[in-house]
Amino acid sequence: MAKRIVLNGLECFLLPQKVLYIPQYGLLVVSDWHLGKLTHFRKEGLFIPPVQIEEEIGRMELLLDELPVQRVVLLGDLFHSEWNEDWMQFTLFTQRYPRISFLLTKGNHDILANDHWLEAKINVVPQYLLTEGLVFSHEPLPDLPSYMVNVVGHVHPGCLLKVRGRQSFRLPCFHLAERILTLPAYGKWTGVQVLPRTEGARFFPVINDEVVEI
Amino acid sequence: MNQFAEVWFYNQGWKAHDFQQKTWKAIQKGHSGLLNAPTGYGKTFAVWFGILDHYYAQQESNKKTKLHTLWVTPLRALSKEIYKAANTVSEGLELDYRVELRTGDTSTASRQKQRKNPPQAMITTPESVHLLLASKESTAFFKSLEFIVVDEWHELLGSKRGVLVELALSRLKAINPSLKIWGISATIGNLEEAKEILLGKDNKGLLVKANIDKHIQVETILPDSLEKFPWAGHLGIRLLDKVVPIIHAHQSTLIFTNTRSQAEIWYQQLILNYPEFAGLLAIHHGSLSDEVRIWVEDALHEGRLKAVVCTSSLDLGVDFRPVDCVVQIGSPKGVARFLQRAGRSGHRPGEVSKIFYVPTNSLEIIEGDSLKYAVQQHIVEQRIPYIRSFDVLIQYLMTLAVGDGFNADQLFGQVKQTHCFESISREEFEECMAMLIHGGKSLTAYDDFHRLENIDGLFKVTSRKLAMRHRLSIGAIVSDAMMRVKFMNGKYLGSIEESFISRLKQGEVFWFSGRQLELLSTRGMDVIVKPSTKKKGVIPSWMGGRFSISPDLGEAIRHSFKNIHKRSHQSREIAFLKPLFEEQKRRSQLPSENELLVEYIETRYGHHLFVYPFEGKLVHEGMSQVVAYRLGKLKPATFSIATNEYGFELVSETKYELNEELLRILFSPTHLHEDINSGINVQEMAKRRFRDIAGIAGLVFQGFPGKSMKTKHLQANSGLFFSVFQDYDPSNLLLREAFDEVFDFQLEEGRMQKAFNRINDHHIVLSRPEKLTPFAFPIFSESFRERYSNEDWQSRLEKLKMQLTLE
Repeated sequence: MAKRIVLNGLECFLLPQKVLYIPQYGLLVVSDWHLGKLTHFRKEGLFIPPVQIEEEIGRMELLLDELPVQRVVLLGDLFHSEWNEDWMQFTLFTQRYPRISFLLTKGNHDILANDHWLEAKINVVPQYLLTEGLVFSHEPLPDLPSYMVNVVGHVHPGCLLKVRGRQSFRLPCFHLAERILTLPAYGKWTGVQVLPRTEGARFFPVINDEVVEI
Repeated sequence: MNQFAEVWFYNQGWKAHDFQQKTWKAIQKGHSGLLNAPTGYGKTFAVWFGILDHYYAQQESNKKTKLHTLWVTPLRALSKEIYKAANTVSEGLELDYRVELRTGDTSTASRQKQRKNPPQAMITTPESVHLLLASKESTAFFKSLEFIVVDEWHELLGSKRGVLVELALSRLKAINPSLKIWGISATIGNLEEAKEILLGKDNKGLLVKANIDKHIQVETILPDSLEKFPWAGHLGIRLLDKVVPIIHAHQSTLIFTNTRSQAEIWYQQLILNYPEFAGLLAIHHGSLSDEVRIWVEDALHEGRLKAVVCTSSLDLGVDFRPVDCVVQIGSPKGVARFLQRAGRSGHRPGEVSKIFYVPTNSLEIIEGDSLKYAVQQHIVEQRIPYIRSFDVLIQYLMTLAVGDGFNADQLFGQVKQTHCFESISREEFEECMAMLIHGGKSLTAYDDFHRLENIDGLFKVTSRKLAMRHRLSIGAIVSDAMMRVKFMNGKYLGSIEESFISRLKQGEVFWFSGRQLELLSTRGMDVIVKPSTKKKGVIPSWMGGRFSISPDLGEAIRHSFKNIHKRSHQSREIAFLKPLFEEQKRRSQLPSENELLVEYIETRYGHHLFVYPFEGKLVHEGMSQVVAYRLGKLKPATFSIATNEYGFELVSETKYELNEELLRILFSPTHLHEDINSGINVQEMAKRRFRDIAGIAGLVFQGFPGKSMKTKHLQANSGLFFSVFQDYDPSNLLLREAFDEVFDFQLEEGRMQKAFNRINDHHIVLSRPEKLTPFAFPIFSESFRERYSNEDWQSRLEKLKMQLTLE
């Protein structure tokens, strides 16, 4: 079950798949996938078993098949490091969706050469703007006018929930504070960084198939 | 007769001890051996003069010097001390026997010089020996080695650093079959085994015992009244005012704490409350810069300091003559550690070692009684050696491959000689090799994994990048990424874990190195600070301060508890605790010797089941898991589990209808074996163990100071690797090692079976107190907890969702 929030009058859905969906624009926002991470580790000589990324791509395909998506904004850190074979699989995936446009707002990890982005039909932009005053970038942009909302990724936000029975849960979450909405990392092999509960900050942890506000 | 020792001892006006004579003679005859002697009685000279004598007896003419002796110590500070002593001898007797240091502090230039023109003796650490093995032509370098001495072997034995020593020895023995091995060890419960592991099974070396009985005086510091003393707590600051007169009454006092943060707190409080100590009080712990530590050590030697607050960083080695008193803050957690610390005072023959024990909470007072009992009964811990540590083996394979390379068949034979890998099969060895050759069992289509390459029968690492990365991560101590704390002018104070610094904001104040510091900025791995005068600051907490009480001290504590019902001849500590036991009785019950007390209490945290078997922490860890499993079969639940020396606690949101009949079943010894094997959730314990394993094996790479972006792309925590292995290679050797360590070190089935049998004869008393009891409180406030659940992650999350939506 998705969580509906309204940003500058625009209806947005926080999905338990750890992505943001804006129906009016058919816009799907995906942050910090870190594709190719484990293969990169192997290339650098860390002895971990070879890992298949079909499953992760499959999850994205499910989303694209279910929702009327026209555009996917990849919010940076799409690919973990230098080129490896995992990119070929990703390229095949984007080619299967000729009617969807893919945009990337580059993150600090995205060091692939331009040819590779082109190959996957990805348009690289510094940021992406909607007329309602929503601006998408990997990290928060400085000096934004106060009416704007900045949608970002980068930190892999998480929250720590302590409940009865002395149980605690560390969960990925969406984080909204001071007109910055931070998306959780989409990738399977990414960690979470627990953010402090500051005044006025809203947390939306992903709990199973639901996004809940706490 | 040892001519060198004779001259030296005569000049110093010393008389040789028996054990020294024996050692000299043994070395003269070309034996290997283990020397067991307390600090301060000349054990270094017992071995050193033997080596000198042997060297000059063999020496024919003035040929080019070659490496003759390696002296390995666990601490750099200790290396320096040995170096000083050995060097003084060479200078004093005008010998051409050159001694040099080789530790992490040795500059690159001196290292190269040592390579080209080696000294006769090198004083070093296990890690540095492995670094030498990781350099080209190391075989030639060690070719003429005659002696290897492992100092403070007891300190290394029970850790994976001990495995590093075993492996290095197996290699050096292969290079030079006539190598003589000497170990120096304090008294431990398994000296014979320690000898056998060090020298090797077939080597019938000698065990030389000093048999010097040291007199130790133990005194517990008691608060003025028990009522005002906390039931739980870990700072012990309440007794600060009682420690000050002790400092005044002695020439020089060492105040030992269990953690670095506790040391910072004690130092801060002493200086704040007793400003007259300024300049006379210092702090010493492992995170401080060498400069600070060396200053403190020198000042201690010269008698310029009234007291030093320190951690295990001053446990070993160096003797500070002016020190005539030792204070132990909080439980020392082990008898051997307590004795070792006590021995830091009054170390001259005939003197008494004086130690004051400062409990930090009420129940800890009883340990004063237990410690005295342990000292009196000569109870000393065994050091349990690690076996089948494949993480260290993998590191070692890389080390050799980075160096001269290795032949797999020969190496397998060498490794199998060590105690640690006695039982390794060829398949397991091949599996380790496979991880390094193609990253695991299987190969995929376009894979270009390469670490080890087979070049003319020798396995080598050809990538310079990999070689450098490996050299930087040699060792068996895994720590968090550390940041360097510096002043603006570049002066280096020490290192703090990145995780602590990341929680601080600019302008915030913290205590470190005994100073109040304001955080100015962070740059790469540097933290820039300036002195601050603000009143409030935080104290960094370092990881790794958590160790639990040893089984032997646990046994002594249980002995003390047996005495609480005695009407007469109670020790001072137990008599003092009487009001607490009465309070326990008033709120709940005070169990007698053949009763098992169970308390069921509800608080805002949930339903707490407290059980007090007094079986020691290790057994409680396993027992609590079994009981959680059996309860979970009645009704699915998730438990948070805390344990200590006296008992354990299971907290859950789920309520159980408890009665004595049900408790009988929960604690029944029948089907114990099945319940341990099918019930205990070792997943999380194994995951925690895997943290070190991944680090040692070389999966988690810390990066170098000022790491580049590319190396940042390689960073991941061990939890990620644990999950990857579980998903894609569940039978992986390193993963299995993590689980084996849990069963070997945490859940010993034999001990658990005995405990369950004993309880079976006990009368079970169920009590339902309104509030937490004095027995319950210390367990309740344990912050370190295990979890047991027989609900899957999804249903736990469903419950969480319910709770959140209800609130």
